[in-house]
Amino acid sequence: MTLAVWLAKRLLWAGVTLLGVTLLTFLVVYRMPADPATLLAGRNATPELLAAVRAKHQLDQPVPVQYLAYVGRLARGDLGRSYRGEPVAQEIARRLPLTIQLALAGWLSWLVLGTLFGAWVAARPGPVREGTLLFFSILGVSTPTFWVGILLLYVFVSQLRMFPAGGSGTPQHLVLPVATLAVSGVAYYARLVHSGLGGALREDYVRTAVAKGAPGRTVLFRHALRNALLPLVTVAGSDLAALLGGVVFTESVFHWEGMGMLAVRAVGELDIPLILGVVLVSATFVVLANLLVDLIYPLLDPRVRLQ
Amino acid sequence: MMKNTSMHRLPRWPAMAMLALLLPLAGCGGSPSGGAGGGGGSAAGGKTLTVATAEDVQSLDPGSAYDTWSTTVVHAFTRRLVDWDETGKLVPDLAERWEASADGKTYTFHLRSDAKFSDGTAVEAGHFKAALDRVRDPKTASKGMGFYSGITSVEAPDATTLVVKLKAADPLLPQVMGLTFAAPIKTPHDPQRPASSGPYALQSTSPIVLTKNPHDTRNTSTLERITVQTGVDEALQMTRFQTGEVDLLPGIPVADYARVMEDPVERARVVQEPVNQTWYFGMNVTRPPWSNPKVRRAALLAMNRQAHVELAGAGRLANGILPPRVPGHHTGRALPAQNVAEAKRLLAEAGFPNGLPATMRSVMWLSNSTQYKDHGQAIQSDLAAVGIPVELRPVALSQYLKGYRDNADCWYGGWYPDFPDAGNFLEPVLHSRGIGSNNAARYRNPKVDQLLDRAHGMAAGPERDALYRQAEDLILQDLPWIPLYFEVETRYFREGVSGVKVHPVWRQMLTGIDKR
Repeated sequence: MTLAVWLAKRLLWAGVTLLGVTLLTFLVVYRMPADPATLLAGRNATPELLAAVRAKHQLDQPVPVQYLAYVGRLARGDLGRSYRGEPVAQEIARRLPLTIQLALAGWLSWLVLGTLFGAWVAARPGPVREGTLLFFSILGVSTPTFWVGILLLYVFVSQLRMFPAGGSGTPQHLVLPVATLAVSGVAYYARLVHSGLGGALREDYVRTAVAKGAPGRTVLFRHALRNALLPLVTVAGSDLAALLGGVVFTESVFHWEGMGMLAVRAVGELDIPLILGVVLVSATFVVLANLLVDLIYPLLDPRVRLQ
Repeated sequence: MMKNTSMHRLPRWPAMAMLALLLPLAGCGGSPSGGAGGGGGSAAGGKTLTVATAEDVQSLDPGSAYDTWSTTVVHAFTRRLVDWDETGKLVPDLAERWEASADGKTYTFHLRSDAKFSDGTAVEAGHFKAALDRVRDPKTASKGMGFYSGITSVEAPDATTLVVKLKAADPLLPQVMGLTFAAPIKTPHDPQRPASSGPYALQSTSPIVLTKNPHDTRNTSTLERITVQTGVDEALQMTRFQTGEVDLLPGIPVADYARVMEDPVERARVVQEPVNQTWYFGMNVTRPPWSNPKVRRAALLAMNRQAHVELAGAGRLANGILPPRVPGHHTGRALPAQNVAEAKRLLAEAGFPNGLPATMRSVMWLSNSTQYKDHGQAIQSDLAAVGIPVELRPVALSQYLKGYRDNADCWYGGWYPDFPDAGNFLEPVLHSRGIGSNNAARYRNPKVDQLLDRAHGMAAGPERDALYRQAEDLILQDLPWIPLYFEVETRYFREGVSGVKVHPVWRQMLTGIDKR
């Protein structure tokens, strides 16, 4: 199978998956025991107003009709308007660059720092290094993101005045949110690399490389790490997709107005077009990330073929 | 499984590289520059006041703004025919005066001739007509539609005269003209960029920036600009307040409350005043066990209501349903204090000497915020102590707002009027007409209905207040609600900021504030 055919098939399936996602989201939203019309009509709603609100937002139509209308608009590239009146695509377009910034920076911190940390431990295993890894792993897994964020704000903003107090726009604004993300992810990646490297370093080809006199650094990074990276690629791919969908807590703590804050608002206000838009964009990232991972895999391991 | 000795020769550089990556990050601090909008007085010329809130602003279109912060901002960039002063009294604003016809069905408003939009054009009667026609049009689906449903027509015979005709006499008409829904709009009206007729002009919506309206001669503040930061987490609000980026907070975060209130210097920069909101425990009087008046009475006696005042941080023990700044509020009344023995005796009288059986457990609806849950748990444990089992159902706000009105057993909630008027407070929630919408207790007392109807059409004054007091007394006898506490709101501002108030109608108010 040529790459083009493979890609075409995969893209087709991606389309089907995304359509499924919209259907599922639609069903979930409409099964919720809350009514967007009551929210939109305000607390003093009269029956006439409720009817007017339903008519305005087509909430008076049967759900299948609403869904088909949505899919029809979607096919024309129209994500509809949020209940606040702004086109959903426009709201997302405003937020997405910020989320991409934060997601990429956070993701890179996990990859780079995690790999280095893992390699550092695997290079010379011992109680000190392994203990350090264990300590940071437990810390990373067990401390809630928002707490880390608040702590960093307190130390680096309130006390030391080193960084801006939340918001976005300059590289300085990025430091604390990325550091918050790093706390939660770096140790996990380090463990992945550590266990992968630990296995790889015991392989025959590593022994051969060492025996033929290759320097330690070459052995570690060229021979062993390449194999240890395979599981990392899968995890990193889906993590990047998840990060691009918005990092709710980190964004909220630092008032980073990305997709995460938009998602919270959409759900809080039961803004159905906006919820659908946000979910669709996040799902697209997941689908694309999986596609990308499948494309990268053969490059790292020639035994893997696209099929 | 041999240990690879060559590993000892491995370089230390991964660790050093990690440090190298971290160091520049730590070093690039520099000066703390603001987030959205910036703060202090450093922005391009003139003084800026920066306010931060955790809440969102849902809409700045006068036709749809209805949540607290949306109306606060719309209030700052519009003027309406009338407004309310600091005591909650209706006062003229863009209307110099108004009169009602003898039958009370026609109101004529006479406008000031010097009112101007921020672009310098005159505000005329036609702009009010445009706003009212738009809000009344079902196609707009405005949250304010209900307030103006009694209007049959709005005419603007000349630039300074507005004639409003009603189906039936309604002395509350001038009041609804003060709401932001009735702010003048230009046609064609762009909901994303509404015209500014107020002390400030809306310069940008994201972030929200208001600039002084050069054509509003009555705004004496020296502020050039007001920035409103929305959706800012409490911890970040405090951080920004401490770094000077934010000048005014709508409250003090729980974690800092005690520290601020105990420090006399900080305390001097706090304003606390009651707003017209009553927090209460509501019961559906058509469903057992709450359909039994003795069980409701027992619930009242079971409750340590003072505990809710303390849970709220600031608050005032409720002595009735009408909050303190609503005309008709009765200062002399007191509700019985906690009396567990008497509560148990009443339950025994109702046929439950050993408390209610588990099969009669009722579900109590609340929003899943900490505030609701704290109060909900206090109610639950007080009721359990006398033998009334209640199960908490904390759900998302959107679900709660539907759930508690949808034939729920009981709920914890807060209610406030749109303007300081006893009828506006009581009618939606306790008149039988509200059953099916806001009368979630499904409370029906023909005498109460009659009193509320009679008072509604009367002119403000002691006679009208007396009717509301009678109605309130009847309601408190029937007890569909157990009033817990009246909301008290807090503002916290930095040194140099002045004129901060808790307004009885607008709550948050951006106008009237100044900064040194």
